[in-house]
Amino acid sequence: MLHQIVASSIGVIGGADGPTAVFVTAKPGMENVMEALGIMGKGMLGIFAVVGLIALIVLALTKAGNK
Amino acid sequence: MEFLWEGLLSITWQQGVMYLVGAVLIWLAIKKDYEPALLLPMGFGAILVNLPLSGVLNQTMQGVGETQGIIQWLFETGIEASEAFPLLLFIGIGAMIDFGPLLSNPKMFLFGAAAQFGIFLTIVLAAVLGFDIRDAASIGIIGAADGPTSILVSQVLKSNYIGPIAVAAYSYMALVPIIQPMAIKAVTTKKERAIRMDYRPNAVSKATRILFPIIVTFVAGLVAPASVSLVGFLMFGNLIRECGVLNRLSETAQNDLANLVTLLLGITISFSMRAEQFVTLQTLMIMGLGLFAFVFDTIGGVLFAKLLNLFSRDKINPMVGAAGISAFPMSARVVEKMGIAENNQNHLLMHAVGANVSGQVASAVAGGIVLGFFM
Repeated sequence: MLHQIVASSIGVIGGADGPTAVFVTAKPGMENVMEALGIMGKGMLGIFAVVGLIALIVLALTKAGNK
Repeated sequence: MEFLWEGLLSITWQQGVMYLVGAVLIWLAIKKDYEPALLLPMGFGAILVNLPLSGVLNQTMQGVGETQGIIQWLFETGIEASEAFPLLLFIGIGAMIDFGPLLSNPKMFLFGAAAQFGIFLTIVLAAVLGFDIRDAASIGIIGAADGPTSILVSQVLKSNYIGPIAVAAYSYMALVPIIQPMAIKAVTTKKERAIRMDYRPNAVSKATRILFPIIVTFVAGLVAPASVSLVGFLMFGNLIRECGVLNRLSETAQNDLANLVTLLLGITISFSMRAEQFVTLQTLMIMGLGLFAFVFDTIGGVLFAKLLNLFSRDKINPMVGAAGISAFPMSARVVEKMGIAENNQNHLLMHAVGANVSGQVASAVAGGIVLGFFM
C-alpha cells in the first residue's frame, strides 16, 4: 500500500541513477492515478448520459400526457 | 481465578480505541441525533466485536471446534454473500420517495448527475494518496451520500475498508447541514444565492409516475448493467408506491421492512469495525477523503448550475445544484433555509427536492457505473 510504495521508492535511490529512481517512484502511483482519471472522465460522462436520457424520456412522457 | 481477568488483560490498545469510537458514535446518535438509526447500532456493535474472544464472532473453542458468531454470520449472509441488506433497504427507500417534484421539472435531473462529481474526484485523490484502485473507488463512493450504495460497492469490490467507509458515509450524511452551507458559500456570491426561482410545475400523470421506475431501471440497466441491483430495487420500491394497488406492501416497505433492515444493517456492519481493520492510518485518511467527497459533490452541483446560467435566460439559483447530492431530504432543507436567509420571498424547496430525489437515482447509477469499471 502507501507505505510499501514509499519503501520501495526509497530503496531505488541505491541504484544511483536519477531517471530510474524517478521512474520507479512514479510508475506504480501514476498508473493508478491515470486509471482513476479515466474512471472520472468516463464515469461523469456515463452518469450524464443515463440521467440525460431518462430526463428526455420523462419530458416526452409529460408532454404526451398533457396533450 | 485467572478467568476473571483474562479478558481484561487481553484487551489491546486498538480495541480500547474502538470502545471509544463506539462510545462516540452512540453519543452522536443520542445526544446530537446524527443518523441514530445507523450510528447507534454501529457504535454498540463496535464494542461487541472488539471484546476479546467475543462470542459474536466465529471462535475456535477447545473440545468443541469452530462456533459461529451471530454478527459474523449476519455479515457473511446479509452483506458478503449477496449484499442483501443494503438492497432490501433500497426497496424501502424507493417506496418512501415521491418523484413528483422531479417529474414535473425534469431539468432538475441534471443536478443529480452533476452532484456526483465528488465521487470521481475523490477516486482520483485516493489513487494519488496511494490507495489501490478498488479501494479508491470504494472510498470515492462515500460521495454518493448513500449508505447502502457505499456498503454495496465497497463489498462487491472487496475493499479492505468497508467499516471506515460505512462510518464515514453515515456520519457525513448526518453532517450535511454543516458541510453544505460552508461549501456553497465558498463558491457563490450573495447575489447568486438570492436569485429567485418561481415554481411552475408541469402536471404529472399517474401513468408517468408508474412508467418512471420501469424506464429508469431499463435505461440504467442497459447502459450500466452493474447498477441493475441498486437502481432496480430502488425503483421496485417506488413502483410498489406508485402503482396504487399495493398500498399495504408500500406501507410495509416504508416502515417495517426499512426499520427491520436498518436495525440489522447497523449492527452487522460493525463486523468490519474490528480493531485490526479499523485502527489504521488509512481510516483517518478515509475520513478526510469522505469529507472531500461531500464538499466536492456540493461544489460540483453548484458550479454546474452556474454553468447553465451562462446559457439560460431564466436564471437558476446555484444552491439548487447543491441539492443534487443524495442526502434526502436534509440537503433540500439546507438549500431552502439558505435561500430564505438571502431573500425571504425566495422558496427554493420544491426545486431543491426535485434535485435531491434526482440525486437518489444518480447516486445509485453512479454506484453501478463504478462497479462496471471492474467487471
